[in-house]
Amino acid sequence: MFSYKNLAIPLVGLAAASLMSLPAQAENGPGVSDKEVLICSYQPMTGKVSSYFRMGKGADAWFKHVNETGGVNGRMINYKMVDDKYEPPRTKNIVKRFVERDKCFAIVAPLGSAPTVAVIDYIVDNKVPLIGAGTGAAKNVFYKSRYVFPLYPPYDLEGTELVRFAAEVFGAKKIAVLYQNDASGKTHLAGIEVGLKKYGVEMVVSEGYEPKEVDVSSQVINMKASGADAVICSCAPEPAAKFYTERKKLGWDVPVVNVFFGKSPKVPELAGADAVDGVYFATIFREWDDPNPQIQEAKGILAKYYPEESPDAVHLWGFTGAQVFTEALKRMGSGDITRDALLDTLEGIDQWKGSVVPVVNIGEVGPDDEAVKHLLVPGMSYVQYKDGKFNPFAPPWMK
Amino acid sequence: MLGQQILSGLATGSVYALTAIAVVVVFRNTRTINLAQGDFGMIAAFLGILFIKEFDLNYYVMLPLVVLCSMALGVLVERIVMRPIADSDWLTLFTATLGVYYILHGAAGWIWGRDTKAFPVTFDAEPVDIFGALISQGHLINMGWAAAIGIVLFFFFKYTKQGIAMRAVTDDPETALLMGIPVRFIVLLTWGMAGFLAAFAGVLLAPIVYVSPEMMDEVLIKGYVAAVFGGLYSIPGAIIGALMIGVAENLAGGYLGSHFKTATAFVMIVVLLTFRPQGLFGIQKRREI
Repeated sequence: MFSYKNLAIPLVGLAAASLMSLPAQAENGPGVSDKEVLICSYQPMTGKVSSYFRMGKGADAWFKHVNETGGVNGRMINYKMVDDKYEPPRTKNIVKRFVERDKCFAIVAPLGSAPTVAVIDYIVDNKVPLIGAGTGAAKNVFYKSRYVFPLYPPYDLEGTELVRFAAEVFGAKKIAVLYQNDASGKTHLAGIEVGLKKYGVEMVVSEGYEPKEVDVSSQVINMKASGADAVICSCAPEPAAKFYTERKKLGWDVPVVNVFFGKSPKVPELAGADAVDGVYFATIFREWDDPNPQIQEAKGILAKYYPEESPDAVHLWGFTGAQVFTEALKRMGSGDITRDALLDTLEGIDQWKGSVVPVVNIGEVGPDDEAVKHLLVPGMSYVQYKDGKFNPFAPPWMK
Repeated sequence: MLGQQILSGLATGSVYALTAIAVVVVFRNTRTINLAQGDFGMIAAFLGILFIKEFDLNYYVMLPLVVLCSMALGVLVERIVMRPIADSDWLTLFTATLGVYYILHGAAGWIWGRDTKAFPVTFDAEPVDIFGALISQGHLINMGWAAAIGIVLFFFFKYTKQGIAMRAVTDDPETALLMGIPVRFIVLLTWGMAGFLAAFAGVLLAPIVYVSPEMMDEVLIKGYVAAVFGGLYSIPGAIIGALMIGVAENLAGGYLGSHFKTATAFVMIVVLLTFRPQGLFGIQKRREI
């Protein structure tokens, strides 16, 4: 005979069982199991800026190394990279899949200003940590969110610093600027304009170029004719090489400082060492021939997993985000792995010297604070390409 | 500054000219706009690196080998892809070349990687002074090659049996066939010639634009615009169109601002086609109803 009493016993049992199972589900965030953490990244694996896929390769090499040496607290890191060709509409679809279908725990070391600007609102709205994106676009760096951990300083601050460099190192009064006609170049230009007033320098000409332009001869001829006594080149490696070739052709022996994302062995390789000799480059990472043990370890890891790659600063962008994420994962132990715990742990990283960058200090971001306090690499330094290699250079204010 | 802008523009225009000539040659004989023309040159540039670096060949041994390989690629594309659909409409032919473009892009990326590579041949860095304007030796050599190829093609089409046969096929393929001209062989020869021109374009451009699967994309667009500018049937028109575009781009970039530089070629073509739809040297053909 049916009795509610008989039904109550299994119902209570079921309720108890589900209550017992609840804490187990809450322990791990999306994409995390006891054996694996799924993290994701969009990369220009093919297309016109595929040379920047080095960032993804750097991060991937590091995670492969971590997995081969036992993972982190018993968990393997599954690093999923998808090709967005540096096309923001593709990035949007990819990131939607990362969040809704794949349940990625975090997005680590993705590349690109335009792609990141296109997806950052969605990422933050879905409370997915975005760690070490390869962009200095203002939207990313000054985003008001705890979920954003920018990799390096914004381009406008770099632009201002480069005017200081031109004024104090070259003694320049009149500068010419060559910039990429997109978000990165225009942000640099805005920063340069701030620097002009600050350091009493006049910009006599600013010339833009399209990334796909066959040559930059007309721009360089104009710059030479302007009578500028120094040049700031906001150029990626390939256009930078074209600029240095053209400058040499015209016999224009003007001092130049190049933005950090153009610092690459590709520049002297493409333009010829003679054309680049004496050029200064901003940089935010150590040199690959630095005896620092973390750099030498990274060099070995990159050579092991990507033997065809010539080590480049862009690889280090990837290593940095990947190493900071790994460190946070280590500190979180084998217990609760949630996104909130990840944010707390990242914000607790202070004076950490275990990565390829000299020191990582991550500040705390409150509800009204900008993500700039989360910068993984806040400092900037300089090198000079001389006698076939990049040599450290300290401007007067850094000595 | 004006002289320098013009000379640099001529140098860039000579770079577009070889691709423009090839676009015209293929279009005249096959009614096909070959979107893979630039990629024939890209494959040639990668082969150039391979022959110099891996086989340790010097430039003058590498060049004829690359030319042969590139001609073989052109012939192969004709036999495998284009001949089976030769009687199709222009859109099918056009789409087929788009397919070849993507296949060659993908194959190059897969075999050689997508990283930009330096071409291992560099010319003397000392520029040459021409009436106060400077030009690099590499650009000067390119202009020389482009001019030499233009002259060779002029004599080929004017005085050789194959050249005259090609012109006959251009003018009226059906009559040419009735007169015993092997039209299929002429079409094959046309694609071989496209490979020949692409090899020079690729190898000569490689030290300037560097080598990557995308290296010829922009050059192909400008070469195509130059070909249309010249009338699409005229080789001298293609050369003049390419040189004019190179100079106009530099003058626009130099005097109107760098933002106008890349749009110049397209403004020129829109204006020209509005007033002279057949292009500079084209013959206006009326469709019979």
